[in-house]
Amino acid sequence: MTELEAIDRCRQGDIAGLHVLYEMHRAKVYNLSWRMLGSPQDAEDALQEIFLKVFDRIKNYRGDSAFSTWLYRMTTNHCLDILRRRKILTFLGFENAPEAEDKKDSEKAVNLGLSPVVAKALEKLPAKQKACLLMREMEEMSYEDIAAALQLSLGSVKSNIHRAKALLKEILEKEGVSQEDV
Amino acid sequence: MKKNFKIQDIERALFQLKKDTPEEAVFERVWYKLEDRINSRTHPHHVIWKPWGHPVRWVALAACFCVAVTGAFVQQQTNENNEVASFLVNVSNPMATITRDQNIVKVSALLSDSPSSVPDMSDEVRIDSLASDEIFL
Repeated sequence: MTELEAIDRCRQGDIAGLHVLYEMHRAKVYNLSWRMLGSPQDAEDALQEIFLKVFDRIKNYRGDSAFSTWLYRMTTNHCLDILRRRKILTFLGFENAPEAEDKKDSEKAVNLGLSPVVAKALEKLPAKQKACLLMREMEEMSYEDIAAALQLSLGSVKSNIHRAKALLKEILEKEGVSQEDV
Repeated sequence: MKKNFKIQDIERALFQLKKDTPEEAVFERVWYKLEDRINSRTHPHHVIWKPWGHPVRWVALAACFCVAVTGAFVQQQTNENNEVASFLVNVSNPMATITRDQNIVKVSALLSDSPSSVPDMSDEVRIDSLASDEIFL
């Protein structure tokens, strides 16, 4: 079954269509959610929620852009929503502040397969910059696709990526990380 | 102490992330959960309004609440003001309200009319009427 056929079947409420789309895109959605949210458990939940949203909202997909772009938009919006909610909960005191979770950060880093310092630095980036950077460097998406997925202008995407790299570099340098640690 | 860092190193580290794919079992577990959730829904396309889902909705909800409360308060104030105003008018100038009412007897007019305009109600007339009654009887 091709992607278009799967989309059509999914629109008719056929779960088999959704399964095909899930098989095609699950790894990318999972990876992006994992890096955005910082833990594999959150990524699993996000993967489930995102494909549930796909099933419910596939009728809104008009086919103007590639399905993967639409899916990425949904993924980043979902992750940004979660991060925003986390920020509110942290502000209200329902969750611990990230500064107080050094141990948890290092655990996360092991999960991420990165050196703890890089993972920690990635956590400190603003959500939109992080999304742009991960899409570009990890998923190798074009600037145009990122702009479409995040509903940003091309210039804004480029500047977000540039700023994210500079900030990441600055954080790593401040913490005295050597190139071998990365 | 600051150390020189190359952007390429960061890019390389980020690219490495792509290679970390989870086990197949993770994806299968997520799919089974997803399938269960879809199958267990009685109305697959039902709409759940969750105003707490987004801060903008919180603001919209708070604004609606404020408008409703302010509206109720203003309405109450207006009613009270009208009541007080009508009471004060009654107290300060009762005649104004009396003359405005078409169905009430104008006592002042009756009192101020000249005696000639008032119908004659003398005893004789009453006697005449009694006499006429007698004739009919």
